[in-house]
Amino acid sequence: MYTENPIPETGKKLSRRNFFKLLSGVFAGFIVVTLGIPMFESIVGTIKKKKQRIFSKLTSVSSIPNDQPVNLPFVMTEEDAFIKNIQPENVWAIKNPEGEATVFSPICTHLGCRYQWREDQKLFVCPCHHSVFDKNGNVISGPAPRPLDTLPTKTKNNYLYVLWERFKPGISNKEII
Amino acid sequence: MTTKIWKWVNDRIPLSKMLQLGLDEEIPGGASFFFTLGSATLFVFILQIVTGIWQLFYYVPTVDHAYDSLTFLRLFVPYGWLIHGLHYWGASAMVVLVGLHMLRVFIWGAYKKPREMTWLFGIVLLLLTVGMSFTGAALPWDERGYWAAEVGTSIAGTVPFIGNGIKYLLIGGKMMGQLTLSRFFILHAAIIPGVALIMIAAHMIAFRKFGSVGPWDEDKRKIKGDFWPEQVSKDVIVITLLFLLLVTLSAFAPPPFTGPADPLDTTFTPKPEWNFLFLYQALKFFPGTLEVIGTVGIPAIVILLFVVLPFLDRGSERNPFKRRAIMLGGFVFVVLLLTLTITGYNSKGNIAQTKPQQPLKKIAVMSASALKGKDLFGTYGCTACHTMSGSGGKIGPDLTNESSRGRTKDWVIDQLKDSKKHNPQSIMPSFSMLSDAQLNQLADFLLSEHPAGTNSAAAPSASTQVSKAGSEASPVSDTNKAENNNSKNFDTPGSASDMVGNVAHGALLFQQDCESCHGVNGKGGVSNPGSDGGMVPALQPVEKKLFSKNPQTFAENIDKYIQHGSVPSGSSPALRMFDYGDSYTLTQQQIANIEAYILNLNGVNRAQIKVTSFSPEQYFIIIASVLLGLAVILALLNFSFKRKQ
Repeated sequence: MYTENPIPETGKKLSRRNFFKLLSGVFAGFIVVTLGIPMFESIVGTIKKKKQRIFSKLTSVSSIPNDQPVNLPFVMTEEDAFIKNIQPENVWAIKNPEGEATVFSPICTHLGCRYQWREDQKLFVCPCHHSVFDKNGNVISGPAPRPLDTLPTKTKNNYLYVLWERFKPGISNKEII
Repeated sequence: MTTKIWKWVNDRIPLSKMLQLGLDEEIPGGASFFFTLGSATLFVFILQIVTGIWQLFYYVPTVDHAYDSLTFLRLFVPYGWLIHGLHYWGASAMVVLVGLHMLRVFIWGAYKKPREMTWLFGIVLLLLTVGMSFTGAALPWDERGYWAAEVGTSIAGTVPFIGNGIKYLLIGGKMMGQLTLSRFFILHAAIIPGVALIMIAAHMIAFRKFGSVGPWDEDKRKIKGDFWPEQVSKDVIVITLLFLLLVTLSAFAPPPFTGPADPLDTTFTPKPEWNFLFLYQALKFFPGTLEVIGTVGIPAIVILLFVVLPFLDRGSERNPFKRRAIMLGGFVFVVLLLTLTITGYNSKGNIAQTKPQQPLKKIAVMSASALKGKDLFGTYGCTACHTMSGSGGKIGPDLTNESSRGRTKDWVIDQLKDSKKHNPQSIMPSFSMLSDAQLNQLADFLLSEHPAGTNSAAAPSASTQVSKAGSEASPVSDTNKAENNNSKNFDTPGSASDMVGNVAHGALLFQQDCESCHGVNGKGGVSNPGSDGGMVPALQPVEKKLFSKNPQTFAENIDKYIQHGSVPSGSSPALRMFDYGDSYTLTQQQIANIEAYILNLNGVNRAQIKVTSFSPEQYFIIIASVLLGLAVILALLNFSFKRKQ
């Protein structure tokens, strides 16, 4: 702080001057703090914010055939701050006789290619390195290190919703990216 | 320790001397609250720089995301409301303070020799402030900013010879668009503030050279005061109160959400920011070819007068009571400015004299009900006898201007059911086989505005009418979309649901497009024969399954219906919901406004702040209490000082 003063002062004047200095400092500090804290909070606050998990609507549960995998295209909404990305995706779904649906990510667990369903063999086959899975996603043959990745789902009003996630390929654990 | 560091620093750079230069100054007449205006202006300018930079953490200057990014900052970022609010109100404060500062300098005669350069730099700073205000208003790319930029650049366009060149240079082309926003942004955030910083430095160097002007009374001038800390403490008190005022305004009078910019929307009446109202009002006195006098002539003369003032008023007398003529001139100018601003504020929007405003009804396009009536008009052979917009039979009267005959809807419906009621000689067949709803629709159609026979539709509404006609020309695809409620399409809300619309504008659009079916203020009461409920659903209150306290969810819920339409369950519903979005009958911006209005009808604020930090009210209470506490402590300290003396 600036303290030098060439003008000699009387004791009386000094206290008055000091009061003005104190007042200026206190109020200036008040503005700096009351504005500084919100400014700091405004840039760290968005870090704390949890990313919203948006489930995408697939189709009605009843329209999925029993024991037969179907490919379900859907439109996915991704929120990135104030930008909303809407992009098409697709998943594989199969329903067991009890009516519970399982949804698989369409991405091969080996190196991330998109596999296909061979109706004649009743198997999922990846065209890249010939990883083969059965209709429940278990590895039958090929280099795939783990079964097909299932995606979180929920059912509301007989509609099936899926949460799109991606997993690290090539490792035996299902690890979310 | 601190003295050691201080000495070390000063051995290397003359910091102490620089501070002395800035702070050690004798003020003739002593410190005064009159002399705080310049410091207050400087404070607000710094506040604008700080909050402006902070907004850039979130704001992006692109036409598709500017509005949404600002909405994100204001509603979803902790204290985003404060940062934007301070910047918004700070801009107004800046204009007010610059004005008051100039007025003070004018009354004190502080522009006189040897301070002419300080005054001239000040004039440049005034112009830069106006430039900041103008370019900044466009950046949210909302309705108000967009139209203000449109009108403002058009005003620049009225400059003789080079006007269009200036306009096109400003907007980056011949039409407003992304390049306009980019240019306004770079002017607002880099060029003008950069020049302003240089000018402020020049203004202050010039000021320091001759110091504060002090009182005009020679006796009072003998009293001397110190700039530091006496004047500074007064400056700081004013600045603190100003800061509190700006926070209060940000918390309790947030900037309005005027809805995203919509170049196609003709229902918005632009009106400038308050600080340009004087010009807006003044332009009304210069119709037609005289307009250029108002847009360019008068502002140019005013600036010229400011510039030559110190060279015209050269006497050494500074006492305003002895400078009557110049004071009177200044007084007349201020009164004129205030009168124009106040009348401008109270006037209804009536923007350009060269293009008289159409009555609202003309611009209004046909309601959904009237559009259905138009179908009926064709289907039931009305055109065999009646002419409408230049085509049809001549047996009955021409119905093009039926709306202007002052007939009520009931009258028209009676006429359709039994024309002999009004004229026993009438040969018009009865249309009583039509349902009440159909009669209603037909009456709505007949009572709406129709283009004259020569197809000279009012220019501003042409685009909207074309889109209306387009939607009507393909009823098949409409129905397909609407009936296909279970399709994926139906589940996808349009981009409107992400935009925060304007309630008042939404109310206007609601009247035009929704009221005929959903009732006045969405209160329902319109029957829909053939549907299961028998009634068109009311929107106030809205169906429970659509309602949500979360404005975003609520907007998305109703958005699907507005975008894609829907057919009510039932054997043969007479009325169905139009696909306003898919058919481009309404723009996404307009839909956003309508959604904000419907949310408002149901007690939900579309622009609700969703942050985890303190709410604006809480923050205000906290800082106001802290300030009060500090003031009390300081007052007590001051009291104890005095007691000791």
